[in-house]
Amino acid sequence: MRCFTYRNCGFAWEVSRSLITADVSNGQSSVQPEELLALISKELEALVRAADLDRISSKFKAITALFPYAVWQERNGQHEMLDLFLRTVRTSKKQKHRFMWKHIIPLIPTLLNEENDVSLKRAAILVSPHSRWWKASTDGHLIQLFAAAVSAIPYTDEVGTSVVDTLLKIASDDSARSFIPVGMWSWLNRRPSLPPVCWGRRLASHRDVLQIVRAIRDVETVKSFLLLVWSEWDELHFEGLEEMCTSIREDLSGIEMRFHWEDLLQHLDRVLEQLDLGLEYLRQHDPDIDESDIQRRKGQYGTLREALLEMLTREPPGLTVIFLLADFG
Amino acid sequence: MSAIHLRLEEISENSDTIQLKRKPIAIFFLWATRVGILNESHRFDWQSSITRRRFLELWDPIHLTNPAPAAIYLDALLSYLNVDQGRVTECPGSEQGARVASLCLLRALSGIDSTSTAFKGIRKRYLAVIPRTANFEGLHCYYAISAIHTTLVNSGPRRPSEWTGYQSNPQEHIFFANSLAHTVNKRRRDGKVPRWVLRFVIHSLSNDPQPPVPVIIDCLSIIAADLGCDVSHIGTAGLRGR
Repeated sequence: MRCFTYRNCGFAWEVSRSLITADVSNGQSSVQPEELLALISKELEALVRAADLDRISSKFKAITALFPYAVWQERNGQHEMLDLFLRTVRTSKKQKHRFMWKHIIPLIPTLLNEENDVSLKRAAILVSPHSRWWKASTDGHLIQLFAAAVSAIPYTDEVGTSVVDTLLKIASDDSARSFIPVGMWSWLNRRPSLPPVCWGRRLASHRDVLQIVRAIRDVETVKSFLLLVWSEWDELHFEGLEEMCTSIREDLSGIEMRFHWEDLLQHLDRVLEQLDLGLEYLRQHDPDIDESDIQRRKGQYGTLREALLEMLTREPPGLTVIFLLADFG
Repeated sequence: MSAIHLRLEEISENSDTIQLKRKPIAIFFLWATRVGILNESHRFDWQSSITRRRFLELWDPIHLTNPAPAAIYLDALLSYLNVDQGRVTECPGSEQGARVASLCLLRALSGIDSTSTAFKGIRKRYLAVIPRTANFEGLHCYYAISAIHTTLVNSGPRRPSEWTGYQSNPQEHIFFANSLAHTVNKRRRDGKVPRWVLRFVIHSLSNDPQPPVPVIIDCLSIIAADLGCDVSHIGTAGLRGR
């Protein structure tokens, strides 16, 4: 027993020391969040630089868990963490339209509703394309909240891209489409640049989405929608293609529409030129594409071009000749 | 030893004395556990459950960071619980004790190697009372005991699914986060952190006002661990290392 006592004197002392120091240093730590943040940032930077899609995809839960902290940083005027978070999320091209883990969804409405801090609304808007947060309500009030938030922050191309991407995703959701406020569609007219991999654009080529845009009865918005959705990076939904042809014939008929035809034809020509660059170019952002996909896309955009040219031939011959001459350069 | 035993017996009914002498009592219990005497409690009968309970109730869990007394905490926790056909309930008036004991046990388990004999012994004792498919709904210590169950049983449906109901004072939050961070850093396999732990991180970091700095540190260390960062050279955070 004496042996026991002797051997454990040190232990007892250790315990008492820890109990005493615990009183003094309660809640204190020798590690600072910045040290851990530096490690995490380094890891994420490496993933983004290497465009390691598989690893980013496999770590989406941990990356999502970082977002609330990035928001706190943003609140304190430090933007680096949110920027890095967004770059990581945007690199994850393969995630269909909900890279962020669903457990983050409750935070997004809170940020959109933030009265005193525009930077938090902006943070929520920038991540909005990466989760289906609007699914958290069935009465559309989150979409109304989103519409109010986007009108409250200064416009930048980055914000415009996120808003339009999100808007198109909501529009492609059968249960949410009808909750989009009519005024929100005017965001299409800003025509922000959309990235090569943009699930909002891809999903928006469905007939139902164009139908709701056409229902607004605003030619400028329909034209903006077509300019945004037509892209060498995406194949159009076959029913959406039919609806687009119908829209050209019905919404864009009349000589007063000629300037719209010109813009649309120029855009289609650019898309077809890009498709002519072939597999090597397109595989930069779509590794799975093959030659038959390219031919199918060329056929689709060629059909749309024909529909526009058909409109031209209906107009007086003189005007048609002018347009064709312009078209041939 | 006998003198200490007698003195403990004397003061076991006196809360004020226990409060006054809580540090020597704690040191004694930790020492007794370490040398293995406490495991022979049937023979010596030193530790009446009253003493154990009062000790835990009086002691701030944040100070109990030594992994050695996991067996004490387990015994205490089990003494607070009733199990009836898989449904676990707290004995009337035992809510506070169960809450503290579960936090202490969680913390103690985070320091024990899951392949060790000690860990296996605790698991065996735990499973002798708590069934694998136990239902913890409604317990005041729901989150801590669910985490314990997951740590010990390592399977089954008892993981805390949602953290929206998780409420605690800052000290408990620090204690809980640190226990999870410690467990994650010790036990993660294949570079993966359990999803329920990452959900805790999201819940904690989303809190407004912001959680205490040690919670942030532990949450970030959990994220870093899942991302595969080497955090070993950074040192310790929160309660670690004390």
